[in-house]
Order: sequence, then C-alpha cells, then structure tokens
Amino acid sequence: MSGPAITGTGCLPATSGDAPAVLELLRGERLRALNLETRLLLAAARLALRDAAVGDGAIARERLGVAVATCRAGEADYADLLLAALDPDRPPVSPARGPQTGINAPAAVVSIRLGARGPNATLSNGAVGGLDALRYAADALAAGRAAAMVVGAVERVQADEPAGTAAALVLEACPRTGGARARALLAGVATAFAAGERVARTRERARRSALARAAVEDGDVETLEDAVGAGVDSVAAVVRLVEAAERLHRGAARGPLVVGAADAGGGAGAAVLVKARREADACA
Amino acid sequence: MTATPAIVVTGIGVRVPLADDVETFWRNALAGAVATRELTRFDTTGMSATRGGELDVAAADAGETEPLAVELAVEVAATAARDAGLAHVAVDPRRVGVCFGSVMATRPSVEPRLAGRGRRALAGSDGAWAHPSRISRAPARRLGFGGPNCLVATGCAAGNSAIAIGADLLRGDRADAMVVGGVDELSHAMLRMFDGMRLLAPDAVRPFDRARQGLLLGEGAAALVLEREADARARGARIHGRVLGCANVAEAHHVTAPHPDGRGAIEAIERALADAELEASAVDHVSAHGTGTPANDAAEARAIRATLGSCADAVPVTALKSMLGHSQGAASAIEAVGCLLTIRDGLVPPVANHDVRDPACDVDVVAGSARAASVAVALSNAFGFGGNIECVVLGAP
Repeated sequence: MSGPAITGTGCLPATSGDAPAVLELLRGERLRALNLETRLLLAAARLALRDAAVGDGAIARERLGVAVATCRAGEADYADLLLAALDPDRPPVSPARGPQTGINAPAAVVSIRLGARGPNATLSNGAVGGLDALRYAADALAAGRAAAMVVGAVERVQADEPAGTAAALVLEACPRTGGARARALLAGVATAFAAGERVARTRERARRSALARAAVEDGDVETLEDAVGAGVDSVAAVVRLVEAAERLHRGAARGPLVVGAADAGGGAGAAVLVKARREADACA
Repeated sequence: MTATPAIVVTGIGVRVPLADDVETFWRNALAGAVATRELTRFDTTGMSATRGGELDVAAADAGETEPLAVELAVEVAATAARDAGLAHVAVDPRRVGVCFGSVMATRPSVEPRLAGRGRRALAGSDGAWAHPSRISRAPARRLGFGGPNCLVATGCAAGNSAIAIGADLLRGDRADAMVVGGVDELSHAMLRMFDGMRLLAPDAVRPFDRARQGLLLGEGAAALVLEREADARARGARIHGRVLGCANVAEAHHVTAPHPDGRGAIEAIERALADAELEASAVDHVSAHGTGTPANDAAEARAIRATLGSCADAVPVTALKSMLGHSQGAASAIEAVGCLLTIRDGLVPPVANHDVRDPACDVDVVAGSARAASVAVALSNAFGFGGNIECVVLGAP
C-alpha cells in the first residue's frame, strides 16, 4: 500500500503567542509584525519540521510547500484595524500589521520565513479544513509540484481571547535517505458537503469515499472518533491526524485508521492512515 | 498510467460594477468603460483616496440578512450552473463540488456591528463573522451540490486558486463537476489598510502607465463550471474553453512587496505552462494581474518578458482592474472569464486610463480600444499579499 508519508508532527495546546515554549520555537524570528495565529502556526511548523529532521538543505526550498486550514486567523486584527481607523483616540495600527488581517497571513508568513517556494494555500472549511489541507498537499505531492508539504491548522480559541491552538505535520512524497522514519502513510482522503441530506449521511459518504480511495475494506479498519466542531475549529482534525500517525508509529494501532471530521454546518471528511512498514513503502 | 483528463469550462457567471451579467460585463470591458467612482458605502473622511469599484446594491443586500459576499457567490454560482445546464443533465448532485476563493470572505459583513460595539462584537460570535466557509457552502446548499466544498484564501490570487483546486478535484475523480470562482465585497478595514500603506490611486487605475499611482479596491464575483472534457462532450455541453494548466507558487520574499525581478511570477508562469505542456511561444494573450501599483506592474512586466522572451513583443496584455478596480479574491475569476470571452470573440479589451507606457513595463499593452487578436491560449496572472501567486493557462474549446 502506498501513499505520501507523514514524517513529522507538532501540536501546540492552547497557548498565548508570548508563552516561553512558543518563543523558544520562534527564536531568531522577527515577531513584532506577527499576530497570534501566525506565531502559533510558525511555531507548530518548526516543531513538525524539526521532528521530520528537515534541516537546512534537506529539501530544496522550491520543493517545499505549505497547506493550512483556518477560519478565524486575522479576524481580531481585522477588527482592531477598523476600530483604530474609526476612533482617533485609539493608537493607529502599524501598516506593517495590516496584512495580518488576512486569512492567508499565517500560511504566507510560514512560507516566507521558511523560504519555502512550493505551493501555498489556506483552506477554510469549518471542522473539515484540516482534511482539505491534507488533500491539497497530497495532490501537490502526487502531481510532483512539491517534494514535501507542511500541513497545518491554527485557530484562536475564542475570538476575543489572546490564546490559540495550532498543529502541523510534514507530508512527504518519498521519505529522504537519512530522514525521519515515516510515522504513517496517507492512503486516502475525501470530503463531502451536506446539501439536502443529514450530516450523518454526508459523513458516511465521505468515509466510504476515503476508504475506496485507500482500497481498504470497511471491516478492516479502526475508526477514531470524528473531530466534530461547532464549525470554526480547523485544528481538531489535524490533531487527530497527528494522534493517529503516532499510534500507528508506536504500534498502538495496527491500522488502517480512519480519521473523520464533521461540523454542524454540513461539512464532512475522512482520511485513512496506514502503518508505514518500510520507508520505501511511500515510494512504491 | 492513464493520461491526465482535459478540463473544460461549461458555464460562466459574473457580477461586477456596471454589469449584472456576462454579456454586459464583456461589452463594458471591450468599450473600456471605467466602473470606479466615488465610494458611497463608507465614510471616507480623512482618506487620501476615496474611489473604488462599488456595486450598486440595495440596502437589504448590504449585509442585513446574508453577507453581501455570500449573496454574490450564490448569484454567480447559480448563473454559471444554469449556463452549464447542470440542472438538466444526469450529473449526480453529490458529485458536484463548490470552491470559491476570497480574501476577506464574510468579514466585512460584521463591520456595522463592530463599529457600534467595538471588539465585543467578536465575543462568542458564531455567525457570519466566524464562518468564511459559508461563501462556498451557501451556493452548494442553494443548488443542492454535495461534492467537495471549500473556501480557498490565497490572498488576491484566490480566484485562480479555486480554478486550480477545481481542476485537481476533477482530475483526481473526486467530483464530476466543480463550480469554482472568486468573490469579495468592499471592506472598510481593507480600504483603510491600503490607504495607510499609501497604495491607493487618487483618481484612476493606470496599469503599466508611466503615471500610475496605485490601485483602487473593487468588489464583485465570478464563477465557472468545470468538467472533464470527455464528460462534457458526452452530454453535448457547450464548451467555453479549457483549463490547460495551473501553478501555485509562494514567492517567499515579502508580505506586501513583490520580488523586484518578479521571481515568483516567473516561476508560476513557467510551472503553469509546464502543467499545460506548452512552450512560452504558444501564449497568445496575457490577462495581467495589473493592479496599477508602481511595484506590481514593473515586476509583472519583467516576469512576462522573462518568460515569453521576444514573443512578448507581440502578445497583447490587458488589465481589467483598470476598469473594475481590484476586487481581490474575485479578480482572477473575473479575469479568467474575460480570457474565455477573448478567446470566443478574438478581441482583447483595452487597459483603460492608459496614456504613456512606462519604459520599465516592456510589454505590449493594449491601450485606447479593444484589439482584434486570434487567441487560442491565454495566460491569466494573479498575485496576492503574502507572496501567494497562482497563474492559470486557459485555451480555446
């Protein structure tokens, strides 16, 4: 069984952008113009790349891409920018902070700071966005547009609180000689939308589609509880992927493992991860 | 390995300032009709630039029920689906997906509340503000499309990114038809941000002109229905054109400034042409990102010259933002539709407000009036803040 390999993972539990653990991961970075979500995504990306042993030069920078899921990134900055513009008593927002209002800002800054010149995309799809980012990355690898993709997600915990969560994993088309051992292989991923049907039915469609793409029989899989969100948490699905990959890697699960995600807004998706028996599996 | 299936466009829909439908949009574009004007939706007191490409929308449309951007996405998706005849053919609606690109998505719709309540308007908010996904979900729900659905935010390259994602989903047999496009509504916050960055033009957008001073923001939406060519031909669909190739590249240079040599644009154009399996000499027309800022246009012209070489002498370049302003995530979707209509009619719209070409922009700018040109292959560029770049190559049916 083949598919791109998850070679590194990194998760940040709810934290501020100034927490010591975050600042340690961001050592040497210019931080003044970076908002909470950008800091956390950059920290999670560095954690995952370190875990994957992707040091300088291990992957050509034009072959390294970034695919990120988020719904709320930049919204607080957006509010602050407008409020400052409308209220002469508020301090103005520095023009350098302006682009941090964008949904794409965290992913864009990660590419800039890593010098990663492969594909870059931010996907918003409620609780399912992390699986969209995974699919986007897998397609980029399959088409030869990149050799490795950082797949991540970041959200502010509450819109008006200065804390957030982030998670990232490194997906590689073919693990490098001397690189980290593949934690798991991505055998299939699929998403669907509940238009005129119950979400439970949509979840089942996405699951069956992912299993079919993975060429796995339904009776042979172990299914993790779906990452179900109110609709704005993109991170939970990526955390589930990380947990599943680590379980397969440690031998805590034989696999295949199905990771699902769904939200009340009608989004649903599923990914199938399998154990990486040999590093060469990913290149088979 | 089976050959990569060809992707075709079977439906289009557009909503832009001065035009509620595709043919009016195109008539205006060929006439060089400038749609930017004094903005009326926001208080522009204290701003150095007060113009933009504003849609005429009734008050009820402007965010009271659904965010305007959601309404626009639903409208153009429905138009494109109708144009493609999707409701009348044996396409399984669960195999039809939707992907829109946007910069600010639903965020502008909360501005009235924000202005009244301050940041408290964010607390516990679970409405339009927090759900950019509604941009792509609302059209799918309205049209009954249960296939893959997502919003892509690659800055102002988002419309092209949606086209590329749709093509990928079809090539990978994840859907049988994709409604893709771009949408953005004017945002007071963005207007203030661009004003603060001194990127706005005082009067008009003059892409590639020696006197260009900046961009003007705009708003609108466009959608395209994509299908695999074999499926579309089997059902006898009218084919507007082909999506021949796409490339997404992170310039990885600077958050707001393009690389002065157009490094990312060069890579994206080269990769898009490689994806289309075409030589640079095959390009008959370039629909430029062409924002009218001094930095963008010079870098983009260098990239076009670097990739097309001497062929660039005879490749007509247009920039629809000269007329419509920069509608951000919508822009490249609108421009893709423009490319398909150029291919259909053999006419390239002029760059409006263009008097004297900047010698630093050494490309064949179509100025004054529309130019007749036989176009089989058109390159459509889109660049965004953050260094997001997505180029799309479109071709004749």
